[in-house]
Amino acid sequence: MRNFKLLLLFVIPLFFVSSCAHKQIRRMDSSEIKDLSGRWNDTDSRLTAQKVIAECLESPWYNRHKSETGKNPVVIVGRIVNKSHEHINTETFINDLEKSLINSGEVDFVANNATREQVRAERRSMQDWSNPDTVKRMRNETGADYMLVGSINTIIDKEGKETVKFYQIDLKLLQLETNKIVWIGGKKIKKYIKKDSISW
Amino acid sequence: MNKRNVLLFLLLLIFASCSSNRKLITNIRKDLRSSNYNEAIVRLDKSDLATNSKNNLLYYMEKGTLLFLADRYSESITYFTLAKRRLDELFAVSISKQSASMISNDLALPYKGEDFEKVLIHYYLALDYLMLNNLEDALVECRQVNLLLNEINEKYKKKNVYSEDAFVRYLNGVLFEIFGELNDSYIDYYRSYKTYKNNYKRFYNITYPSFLRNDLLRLSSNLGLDDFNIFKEKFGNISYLSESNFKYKNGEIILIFENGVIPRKTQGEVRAPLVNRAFFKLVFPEYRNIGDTVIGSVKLTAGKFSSVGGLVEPLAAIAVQDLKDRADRIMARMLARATVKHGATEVATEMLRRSKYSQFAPLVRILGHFFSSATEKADTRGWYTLPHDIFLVRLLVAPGKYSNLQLNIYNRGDNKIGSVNLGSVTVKTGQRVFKYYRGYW
Repeated sequence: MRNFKLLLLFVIPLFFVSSCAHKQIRRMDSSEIKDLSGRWNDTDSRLTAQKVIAECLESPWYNRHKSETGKNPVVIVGRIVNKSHEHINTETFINDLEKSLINSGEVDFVANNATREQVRAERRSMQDWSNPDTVKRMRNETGADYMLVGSINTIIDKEGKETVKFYQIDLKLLQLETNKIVWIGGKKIKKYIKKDSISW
Repeated sequence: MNKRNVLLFLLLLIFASCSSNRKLITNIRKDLRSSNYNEAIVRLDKSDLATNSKNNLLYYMEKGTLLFLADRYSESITYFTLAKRRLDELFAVSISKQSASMISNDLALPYKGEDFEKVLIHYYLALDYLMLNNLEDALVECRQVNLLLNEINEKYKKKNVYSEDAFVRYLNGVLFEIFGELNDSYIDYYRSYKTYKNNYKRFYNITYPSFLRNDLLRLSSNLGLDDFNIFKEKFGNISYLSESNFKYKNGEIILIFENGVIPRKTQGEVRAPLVNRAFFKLVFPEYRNIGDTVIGSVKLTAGKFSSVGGLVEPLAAIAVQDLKDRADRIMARMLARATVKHGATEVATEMLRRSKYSQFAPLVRILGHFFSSATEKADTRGWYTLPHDIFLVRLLVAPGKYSNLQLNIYNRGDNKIGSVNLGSVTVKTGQRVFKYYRGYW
């Protein structure tokens, strides 16, 4: 019987040890880079948006537009198609693109389709209900000159526990009146992922 | 240690490895046959499958399927996505669990899924997204499943029967075409055609669906490929609808009809007598009474338009063949384990006999062999809400609203054995509409 008690003495603490795996939570700065799964993440989205927009605004179409019209070009972000191997939330990427565009201060920017509908509804209700001095006019929206569209593609090379992921983000700026493509740009991201083949 | 402790310890080990889900699965499959999907979900959630981390993958797959069948697509996506993540984690071989399985049985290992099950996770996810009208994400699943199939293909170098999935590739072809990625579409149609013609013909005795001829002609002509002339010659000048004709004049209804429930693995065993009443036992998973497909063909009718379709994915037959493929490997593993267990008993007996406790030796020997045999259990786990077979029909229609989409089911003797009203459907010009139905014939 003594041995049996001795056995219990060893076994019981094991249950406690196994049940108290605790969680750690730490606030991170949103610019801090942390790759966990190798999937497309917030950092990819933000860095890509910043880089391509900077590149876009430096290219010749911008100055041409300015010298021809004397005004800032008006830009809208259209559809970004996900053609990759991952479920990518293109909406956050579009938001990042919009943010970079507005914050550059070099273009005027109009709201995209979904947002526009909301604003229109608000303006319609203004016509009936708001103080006439503050009512905003209907049919006075700024039309965009250019539309930014694009896609996210991936190429994946996999062998056992190793994977190389190659993201190609392609963006095009189209002149709305003529369908002319005035700028093409993009960014490539390459990631190497290695999985553990043995665990405890 | 006295006798009582030894006994207690042995009993504990035996019971620990005995938990079985047989009854749960039986009940869930009963719910399935009467289309009580939500009841089945409740049953599943209350079971041991939901809590045991070894069976995580199974739980996610079963729950994903049931949620899909209950038309709860977003929730279904959550569970199938969890299943994918879990598969990723299971890539690493666990040393502790492997050793545990050596002294008890394979049920001590986490369930890692059969190859065809891994592929079908993507298939159901694609259907989930389609039902939510999200083609973009459905296509992400198509791309992922292509990667996975290439990997399986590479891994077995054609040694395994299941190294390709003709139906899944076919569906990829359809979806890529709808999205306008014609190159990808053509490649998948072509792979599907090859796989039907080779593997599926040889092992399951089914050939490619007749629509595939039209698809190959349409795509190769649309892409301006030389293959067009080769196919034209091969298929003997059949008429096909060109893409431009389709786009401006027609619409299409594509029905995926899943029938029945996939068979379950059962435990087979071989015994050899050892000492007293103890015996040497080898167990292995096997399929018995898998049942043949009763359905010969299906016919889809909308207004004055109708089209006949057939079996495109004989899942039950694929499962059986897949297990047969692995039978040698499973047997070797079982034999190694039984040898280790029975051998250890003999060694322990011999050591005891030479010690001052020699009077316990015969008892330990009998108990040891008894324990070794009693803990031998075949791993009969599987994804058991899957259908027995999958059928497909493509029906070209004039654009418009059809109030009674009718599915008629015929047996192999061409006698009508069932009829289902799939409700109304509206097809716009150039649109391809998906419909899904699960039945139990």
